[in-house]
Amino acid sequence: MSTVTWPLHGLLVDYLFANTPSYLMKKFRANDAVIELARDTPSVELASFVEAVDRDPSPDMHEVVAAYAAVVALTLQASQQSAEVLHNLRGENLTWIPHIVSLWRQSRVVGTSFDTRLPIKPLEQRQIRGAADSMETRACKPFRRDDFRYHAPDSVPTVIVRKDFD
Amino acid sequence: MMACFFTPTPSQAVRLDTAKGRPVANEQRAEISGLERLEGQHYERSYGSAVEVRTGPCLRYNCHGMSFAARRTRIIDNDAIRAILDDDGYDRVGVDKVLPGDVVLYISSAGDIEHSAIVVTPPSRETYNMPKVYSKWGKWKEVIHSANVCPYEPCDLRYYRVRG
Repeated sequence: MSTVTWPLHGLLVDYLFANTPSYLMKKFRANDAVIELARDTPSVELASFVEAVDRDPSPDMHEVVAAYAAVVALTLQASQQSAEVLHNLRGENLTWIPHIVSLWRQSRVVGTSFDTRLPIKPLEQRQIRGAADSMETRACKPFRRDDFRYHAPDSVPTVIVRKDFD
Repeated sequence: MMACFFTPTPSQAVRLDTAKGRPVANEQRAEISGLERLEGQHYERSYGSAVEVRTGPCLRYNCHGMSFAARRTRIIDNDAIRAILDDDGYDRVGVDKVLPGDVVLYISSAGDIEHSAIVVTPPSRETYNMPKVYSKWGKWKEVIHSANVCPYEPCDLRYYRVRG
């Protein structure tokens, strides 16, 4: 079993008073020790620690809290590797792991960008003439609502959706 | 040596349904570690006389289990609480209409129902609209306290009463 060497004091209290996994996650994510853990520890190491505690039928109290802190630290790491690790965590004995992973999934911001550059189609001479005729017509009769109706271009605009998962 | 071992016995659940028969997800735990007890006592002391202890620590139920499941189990899922509010016929009550016995939910800024309590003394101008309540603090004890004197966010308190 890995040795827990970082300060757990505030985490123990948060764990004790947590009524919901969301509360635990919120408190742990705000804890400096967890932020440092996320910054300084590779995802694989965090995952192996969590898995070892989760498999242990009688872990030490420190280890239980540390394992939940490690899970939350993984949710703070914005990397493809941490995402894969989180997807694979089981939570057999540490039953709040699936809840924390689920909350992390829900909270992930999917960055979506749209490129709405429309293809420019040169007007043909007859269309220019038609537009000019239309202007003349409008000049002598009141506008109708239909005059302002949007007409979709012939081709579908180019839309690029990019999902920034991590 | 101080007993500081926690045995995470496989999570157990009890049969729990809403008034309309919808199952309510829940979990039970039976033990509290010596270390948790020490941490809890230390933290409780920091509140001084602002909190009055009603019971000893108990892992079997949490605040929502106290408010909605007769202290038999822990309810940790927001959807389960919403199902109970709907199926058991709870109505939201305005802050000026609160009575002793009403349930108060603590909604966090993220929308989590992170705590619940039972009103002892309704909010008033003298108490800056804060009721006195009793509630269960996670795995810790049931305590009587002002709604804003606890480890939970009191910024969005919502009151509920079962429809008569």
